[in-house]
Amino acid sequence: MENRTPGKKNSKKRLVTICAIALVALILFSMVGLRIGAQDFTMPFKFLFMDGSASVQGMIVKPYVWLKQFISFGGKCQDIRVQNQALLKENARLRQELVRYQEAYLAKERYRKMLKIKEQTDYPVVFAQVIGVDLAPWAGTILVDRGRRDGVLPDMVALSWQGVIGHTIEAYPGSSRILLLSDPRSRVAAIVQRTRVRGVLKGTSSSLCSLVYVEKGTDVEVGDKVISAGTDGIFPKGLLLGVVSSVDPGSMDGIFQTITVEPSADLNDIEEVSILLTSKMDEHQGS
Amino acid sequence: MIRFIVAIFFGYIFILLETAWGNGLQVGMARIDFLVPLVAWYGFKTPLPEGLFLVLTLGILAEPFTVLPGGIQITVLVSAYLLIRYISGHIPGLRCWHKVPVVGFVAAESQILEMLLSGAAQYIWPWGVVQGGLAALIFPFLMLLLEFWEGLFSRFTARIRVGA
Repeated sequence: MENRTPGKKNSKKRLVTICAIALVALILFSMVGLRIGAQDFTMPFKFLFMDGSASVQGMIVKPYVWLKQFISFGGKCQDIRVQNQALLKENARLRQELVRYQEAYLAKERYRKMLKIKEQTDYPVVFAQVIGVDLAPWAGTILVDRGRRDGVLPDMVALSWQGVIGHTIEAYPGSSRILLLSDPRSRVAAIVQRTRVRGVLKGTSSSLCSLVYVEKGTDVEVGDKVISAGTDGIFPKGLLLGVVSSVDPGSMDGIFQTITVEPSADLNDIEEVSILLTSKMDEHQGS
Repeated sequence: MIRFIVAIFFGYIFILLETAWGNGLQVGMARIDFLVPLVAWYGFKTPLPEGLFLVLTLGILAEPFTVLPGGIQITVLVSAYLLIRYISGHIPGLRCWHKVPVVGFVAAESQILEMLLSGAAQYIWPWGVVQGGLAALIFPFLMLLLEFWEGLFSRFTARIRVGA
């Protein structure tokens, strides 16, 4: 036992000394090599070392990266959820805004067309918004948000951007009721523009009107324009009421034709109306 | 009294909704009408003569919202109420689901009466009947809504009375 131990100690010392010398020599060689620019000497060792260690490093780092990604993903999930909610909110807001812009654009287009009507007539015009319809579904009246305070009185002509829709029958301080051409109570003195044949435009509760009291044998054709005659005391002469859509000569014993007229304005889809302040103009002209 | 307030409040709201959203609620010449189902709900619970008071008030409220000749709305609602009272008086123990066809029938009758009185008899078929069907459809939902609010108001007023 005693003989073995000093021998082992010596051999260990020798090994340590050799390693230390080799290390110092390697460091010295490297330093000298770097100083004199002779990297070629150490490079093969470096390549070998780095190549071997890189593959091991790659294997070691993978689980770490996975773990890191997993941990950061957990954190990011929360961020993504928050971001997603924020984006959804933003999307909903932008959609609303888009609808608002589209609505404003469409309203602007309608107002532009209504302004054309204003330019075409000499009467002062009041623009109004439709705020309600009649409680009875078959009655053709609408309620608008302009009334006596704005100069609106009963028996004034109401137009949409497409043409005549009817006339006011009741006027309250802040609102007024308009009787549409389609209401069975509506009667308008009318002329067929092409042949000057006279008749009365009557509502039928449907989307079409009928031109009544037109004698048989008078010249009325499909497509003829029907305009106001100006003799009923409400509608000024020359306003476009509609277009003839069908002509039925009627039975032999009758004396009148059955003429159907499609109103120029879509009476089921009215949002804004312009009211011609006809009474005001008449007063002005009278004075 | 609470039921009366609930009925008048919702009656007025329903009139405003029906006239403001009219085109959206309309199918042909029929429209989702809340007034007759409301009167029916009230009629099932409130006997004569106090029930008539609400019906007359609702009719007066509804009159300015239509161009139909004056008195038609009141007549129609009164007829609906009286018919409900008559039917419920002759069928003892009327169950909840029995009320649905009764309301449909009464709504159709009311609509037909309204059309006849206003000179629109040509729409009785099919729109008067369609109106009855629509009223029967919405009645259960309306009943739930009104019962809920009546219960809520009752609890609220009971608390006030107790002083809690």
